[in-house]
Amino acid sequence: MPELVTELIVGLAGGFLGGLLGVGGGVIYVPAIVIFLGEGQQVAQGVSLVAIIFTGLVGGVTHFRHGNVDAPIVTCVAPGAIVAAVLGGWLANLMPADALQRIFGVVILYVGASMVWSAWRAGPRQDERKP
Amino acid sequence: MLSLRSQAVRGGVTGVAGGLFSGLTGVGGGAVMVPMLTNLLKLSQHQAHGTSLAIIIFVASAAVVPYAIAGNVDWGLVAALSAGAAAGVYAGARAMQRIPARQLRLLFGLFLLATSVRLLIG
Repeated sequence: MPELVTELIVGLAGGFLGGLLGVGGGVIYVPAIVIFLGEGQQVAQGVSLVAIIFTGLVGGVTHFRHGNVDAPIVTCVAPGAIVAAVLGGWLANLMPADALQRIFGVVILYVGASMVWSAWRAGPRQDERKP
Repeated sequence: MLSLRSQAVRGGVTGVAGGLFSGLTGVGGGAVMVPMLTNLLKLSQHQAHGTSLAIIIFVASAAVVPYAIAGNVDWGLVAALSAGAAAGVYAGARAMQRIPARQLRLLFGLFLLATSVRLLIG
């Protein structure tokens, strides 16, 4: 089952990089699913979102234990976010895949550029991790 | 300190922006919400990361509904990917202690830029 092996490797590599770099899995999973597994943009995004629920649960619980979740802020941000997320997902499923892929290209252009910029600006001396 | 009313308004704006972004692109929305949580809602960087992750659980759960209805969630792929990811996240978080983060972020940022060029032009 070479396909299953590829799927496991994409998951493993995506999870590893995400954990290592502290970025959400989405910017890794979506392009990896499109490029290595040959799925369409919509399927890649749908699968990525399910994976994000799990990583969010693991990460969220860890941060909560460390006192880094501001519960009142969660309660005022979440309702609007839930409604808008359904709307965004609905729009994504109506759009042609190539248009959606271009929007996604802009997103990782932004995330990539801000990673390069912040790493560049930090300078070689400030390599130690924040507590 | 923000008043309760302005906190509600700014929180609402942050949620709508993050949710729309997440649903449309299939990522968690942290890239949009973390800067808004620090700038608009005055959270520290650490608080913003933790709070954003907690919100992302709700965002991703809601966003996935229209994808599932449209038949765009491949559950077999979800199972295989999640099995790999669970092991990967654990190993990655452990390796984080030992690997120089800056060079890695630089490299990965460049890799994302290259991927974006491929998606935009290809």
